[in-house]
Amino acid sequence: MAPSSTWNAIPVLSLKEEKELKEEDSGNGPPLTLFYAAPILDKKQTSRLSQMLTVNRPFPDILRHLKRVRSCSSRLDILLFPSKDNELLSITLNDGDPATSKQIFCCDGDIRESKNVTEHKDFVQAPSIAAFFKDTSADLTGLGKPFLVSVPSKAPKSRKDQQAWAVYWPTTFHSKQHGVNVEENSGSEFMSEDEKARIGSNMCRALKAAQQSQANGVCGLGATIVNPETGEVLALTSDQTEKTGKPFLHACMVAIDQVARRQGGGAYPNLFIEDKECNVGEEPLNEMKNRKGADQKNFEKGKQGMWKYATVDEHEKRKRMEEQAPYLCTGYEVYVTQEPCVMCAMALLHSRVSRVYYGCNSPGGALGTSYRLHCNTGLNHRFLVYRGVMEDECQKLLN
Amino acid sequence: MDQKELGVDTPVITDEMKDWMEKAFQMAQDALDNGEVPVGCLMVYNKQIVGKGRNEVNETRNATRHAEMVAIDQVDDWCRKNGKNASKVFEDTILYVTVEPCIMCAGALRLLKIPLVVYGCRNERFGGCGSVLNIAEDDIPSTGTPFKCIAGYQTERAVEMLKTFYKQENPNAPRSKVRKKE
Ligand SMILES: [Zn+2]
Ligand SMILES: [Zn+2]
Repeated sequence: MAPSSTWNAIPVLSLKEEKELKEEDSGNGPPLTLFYAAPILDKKQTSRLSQMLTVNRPFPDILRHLKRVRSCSSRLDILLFPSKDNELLSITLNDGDPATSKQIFCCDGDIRESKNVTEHKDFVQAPSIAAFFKDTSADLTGLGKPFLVSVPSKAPKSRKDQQAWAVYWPTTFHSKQHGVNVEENSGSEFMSEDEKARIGSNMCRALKAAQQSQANGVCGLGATIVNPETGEVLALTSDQTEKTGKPFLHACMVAIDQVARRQGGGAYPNLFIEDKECNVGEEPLNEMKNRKGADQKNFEKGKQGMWKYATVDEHEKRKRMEEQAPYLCTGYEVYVTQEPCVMCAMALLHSRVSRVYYGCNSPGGALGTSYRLHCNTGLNHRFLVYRGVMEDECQKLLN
Repeated sequence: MDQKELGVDTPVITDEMKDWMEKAFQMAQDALDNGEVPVGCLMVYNKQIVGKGRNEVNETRNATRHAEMVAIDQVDDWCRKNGKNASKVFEDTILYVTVEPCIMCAGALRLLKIPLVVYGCRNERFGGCGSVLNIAEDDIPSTGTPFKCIAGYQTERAVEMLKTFYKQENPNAPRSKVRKKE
């Protein structure tokens, strides 16, 4: 089966991220805060002024994402300090030059920005630059009259935000190291065709397992676990509850145990050999046969062309336990036709998977529907989740 | 909430239940003495133990092999051997465990329709019966049935065992190095 291309991998975000994203999408732009800025009249002074201000008026920690200088219609503007700085505000109110105190300063050329400044008209004062710095001996040569400007009050979460927010004031963008974030989780909209094809072909394996299972008259639900570094298929199975009468042997639970068996462990030794239907597909067989090293010894081709787990002798098992193999499912990806339930979602979290891709949502699902376990800040591991991968095909299997 | 309502909602621990909890604590102590995670867990049906479990994560290399999951498998085996209908047995089985079941185990207990869980201390990291999430009582579609809990039986004893274990586990816990600023 070729992966159809009508689907989109949609990131499942935390409620907070979702809210932020909605706010940004609604065209309201970033949250803003008021800053005093001044034009640089003598461009040769730019780096000196920038250094002087960094020392004299460092940005508060939460506003470190702002760039000090912007270039605006062939002139340079430099940020002085936040207008909310009470101490300085009182200076401006008490010592403001009466001649200019009603004047509003804003950068010409940008409608959005001037609109934002105008909204704050009532309390905009226009103090002289000297009044701002009267407590220091700063050399203010080259600075023009200060004005108020609205700047993004939080750091952009993506390059897209960074670009869009530049109409207010340029910001710096740093991609986060860990956790679910909007940049990394930007969905198939920004996914390369190769990546989409890779995700699709992995989901196809899970779908195939589910279809085979459904053809045998049981629940059409499949899962596979893949090492994204090597493309290796580490587990491929379908829901085993009906076959075994064990209501907790959902596809994900069985898949996790398959990975454990490959690492010399495992809790359900009889399940995979007895069950031929779940071990579908020549693809995983070929991949497993092509694997190098000790792993290969643990598998052999079954009589009916299905792969199965061969007996692992005790010595080999112990040796493997002592190897530095990746413990649990660290770094692995899970593809499952339906959104995992709370038991499975937590099992995947305990196993430290890095990503979960699923087809359709399910009632009671714990990666988006009833809970969003993967971004629960109370838990010790977070992972990325995408829904909607080959959604129609996955949904069809449940009807 | 008024007292009457509380009485209906919250089952009270009986002397028999306390005896089972004592057995669970003994199991936890045995585990501790053998350098294993000190969680005692047993499943009681019709006044007899039909499943026992201890944490088997390390030997199975399967992060889901918590004591509860192991005990559930044993109940399943017991039913097969004794010709009982497993789903009927689970619906009448009480779980006794020294530590609050995690979110995953709570999910499994719901799927099995276990009616009641008696436990010792809370599980602040993963607890699924109120500490992190309340899988026990939440309204979750297509996820079995909610179950009741009797929490807090000999909390300190359970906590002490865990503390002792983690101290043993990590004898060379990294000391935080204080760097002098130049
Ligand atoms: Zn599940
Ligand atoms: Zn658990």
